[in-house]
Amino acid sequence: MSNLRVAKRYASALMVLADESKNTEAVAGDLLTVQSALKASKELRTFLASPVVSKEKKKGVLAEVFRKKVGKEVEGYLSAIIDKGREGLLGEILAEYFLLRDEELGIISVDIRTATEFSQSQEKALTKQLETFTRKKVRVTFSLDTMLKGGFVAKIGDTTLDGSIKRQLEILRGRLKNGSASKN
Amino acid sequence: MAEVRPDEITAVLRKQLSGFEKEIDIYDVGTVLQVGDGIARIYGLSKVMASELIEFPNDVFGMVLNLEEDNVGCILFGDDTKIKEGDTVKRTKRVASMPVGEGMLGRVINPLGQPIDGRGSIKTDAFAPLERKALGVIQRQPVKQPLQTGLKAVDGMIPIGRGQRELIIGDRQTGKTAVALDTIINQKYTHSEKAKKDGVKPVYCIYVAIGQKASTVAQVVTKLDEMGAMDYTTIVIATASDPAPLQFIAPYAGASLGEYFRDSGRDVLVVYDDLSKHAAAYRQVSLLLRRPPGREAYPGDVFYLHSRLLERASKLSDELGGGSLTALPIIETQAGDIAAYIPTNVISITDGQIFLEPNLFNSGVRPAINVGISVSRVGGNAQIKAMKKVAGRLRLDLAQYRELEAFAKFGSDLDKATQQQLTRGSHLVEVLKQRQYVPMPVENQVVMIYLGTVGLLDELPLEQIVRFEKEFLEMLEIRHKDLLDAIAEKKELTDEISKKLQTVGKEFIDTFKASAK
Repeated sequence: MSNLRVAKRYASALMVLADESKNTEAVAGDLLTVQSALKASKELRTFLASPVVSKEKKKGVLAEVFRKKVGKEVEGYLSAIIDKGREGLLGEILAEYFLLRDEELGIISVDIRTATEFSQSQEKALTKQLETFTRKKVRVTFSLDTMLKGGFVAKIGDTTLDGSIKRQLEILRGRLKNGSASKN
Repeated sequence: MAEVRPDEITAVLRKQLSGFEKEIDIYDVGTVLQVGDGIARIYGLSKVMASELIEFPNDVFGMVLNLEEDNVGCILFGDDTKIKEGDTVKRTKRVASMPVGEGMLGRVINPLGQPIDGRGSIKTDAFAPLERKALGVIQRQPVKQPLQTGLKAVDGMIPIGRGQRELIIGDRQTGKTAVALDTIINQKYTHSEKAKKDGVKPVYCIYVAIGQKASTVAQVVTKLDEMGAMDYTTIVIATASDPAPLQFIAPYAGASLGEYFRDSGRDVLVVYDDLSKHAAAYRQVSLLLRRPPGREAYPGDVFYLHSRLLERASKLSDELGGGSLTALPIIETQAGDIAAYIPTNVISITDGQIFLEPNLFNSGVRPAINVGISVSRVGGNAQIKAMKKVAGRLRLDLAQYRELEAFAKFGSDLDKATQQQLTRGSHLVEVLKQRQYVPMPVENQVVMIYLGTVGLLDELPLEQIVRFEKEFLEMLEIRHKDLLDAIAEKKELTDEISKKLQTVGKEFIDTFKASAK
C-alpha cells in the first residue's frame, strides 16, 4: 500500500521531468520501451528487485540494455531511482506514470468484459457510445467472460456499467425475495 | 384443501416480473485489500462519502470511517469471515441509517433496526441517518417539565427535566441500571388517563444496551415486559458478543429512533447503558483503523464521540412541537474513580450526575445515591412546586446531618440540638430508601418527604419507617385520596393541604405507635 504511494510520487516527478524536457512524446515512447522490456523479461524484474545485486551492477546492466534505445532523460531517471533504491518499484512507477499521462491527455481506459466475442462493428459502436457517455477519449480493452451469460460489463475507473444477464438475474432474485420493486 | 392451479402461480409470477425491464445498472465498486477484526480496507471507491453505507458480498454491510490517500477504511456490521481479500464492494450512495417508526415500540432490535425478538419483521415508513447533527439554539427551549423517576431521592434532590442529560455513574454492582429501569417503569403512569387529566404528557422510552452480557439484557427485557413497560419502550441491543462496530453505532441508533418520536412532538427518554463500554468499542475500532492513540489509548476524538451523542438530547421549541429527548447515560467507574478519562469527559458534557456508591449500597441505603456530589444543573426549574418546597428543606437537613455525622463518630457528648439534627438526618435517610421496581408517584413522594422534614417521623424507631410509609400511604389512598389528588392536580403544597397533612400524619403516628407496642 505504501508502495503505491511511493510509486505515485516518483511517477509525478517523472511527469514533471518529461514536461521540462520539452519532448514529452519521445520520453513517453522511451518509457513504453522500458515498460515492455520489463513486462517481457521476468529475469529483468527479479534482477532489479533483488537486494543482493549492487547498485553499480544494476546501473551497468540497465545502461547496456537500453543503450541507444532511450534518450538521456530516461537514462538519467533510471540511474536516479537506482541511487534511491526504488528500482524494485519501476513497474509500478511506470504504470502510475501512464495513468497520470492519460489523465493529462483526457483519455480514460475502459475494461470491457463481454459474454460473447464482439464483432469489429459492435466494438466500434460500443466505444463510440462510451465516448459520448464519458465525454472523453476512450481506450478500450475487450475480454471474454462467459460467466456473464449475456450482455457486457464496462469498468470505467471505479464506476461499473453493468448490462450483463448475470446482474439482471441477481436484481430479479432480490426483487422476488423481498417482494418489492426496489433495487438493492 | 384448496387446490392451487399452476396457471394461477404463473399469473402471479408474471405480475411480479412484468415491471422488470432490462436496463444497465451503474454502480461504483472497490476491491477488498485487507479484512479482519471487524474492519476492512478497500482499494477504489474513489467517490465514496464518509459514513456511507457500503455493500459487501454475502449481505454484509459496512460503514466508511477513514478516507485515505490510497485506500478506504471501513467497519463491518456483519461476520468478517464471510469476506475475502479481493471481493468486490459496492457503494449504496446513502449514509448509514436505520428504519424508524411506530412499529418499533415494544420491540427488541439490533442497532441496524432489525428485530431480534423473534416476532417478525417491523413495519416502518422512514429511514433516519444514524449520525445527525444536533439541534441549534433557535430550535430549543429551556427544560421546564419534570421527568419523574419515581425515586424519592432523585425526584427530591436531583430532579431531572424533560430534555435534560443526567449521567448515572458508579462502580459495578451499585444499582446504576436499576435507577434507569425504575425510571422507565415509572413512565407507565404517564400513559394513563389520570396523567392526561393532570396535564402530564406520555414519555416513550428507549433502552440501549451496549456491550453487556446477553443474559443481563434478557433479564432486563423480561422485567420490563413483566411490569408492562414494553408497550411504550424499544430496546436496542449490541451485546458483548456482537462486533465492536455494532456496539459503536448502538447509541446513535437509539438517539435516531428517539429523535423520530421527539420530532413528532412527543417526549422520549433514552438510556445508554453503558458509555464506558461504548468508548472501549470505539477505541478498538479506532486502533484497528490505525488512528493514533491518545490518553489511555483512546483516540483523540473520544470526547466528541460522546458530546455529539449527548448534544442530541433536547427540548424542542413550541413552534417545532415541543417534543423532548431526555438522555440518561450510564458510566461504570473503576473503584470509584470519577477522575478517570471517560468519566470526567461525560460528567463535563452532561447537565448533572447521579453518583452511586458501593459503601452506601452495602450499608443498605438503596438507591445508593451520594447526595453530596450528585447534582442536577437544570432540573430545578422542572420540579413541581410542591416538591420544590419540601425538597429545599430536605437538602439542607441532609447536608447538616452529613457534617455532624463525622463529629458524632468521636462519641463525645452532644448537645440536644445536635442530637436532634442527627435523628432528623438518619430518619430522612431512611425515608429516602426505596425498593427496586416500586416507583412512587410524585404526590406520595411529596407527602413522605414533607412528614420527614417537619420532623413528624423523628419519634418513630428507624427500622419502622419502611412499614410506616407503606401503611400511611395505604391509609391516605383509602381515606384521604382528595389530599393526594389535590397535590397531583395543583402541583402545589398549599398551606391548607400541609396543615391537613400534619393533622392526618399526627393522628396516624399515634395509632401506629400504639399498634407497634
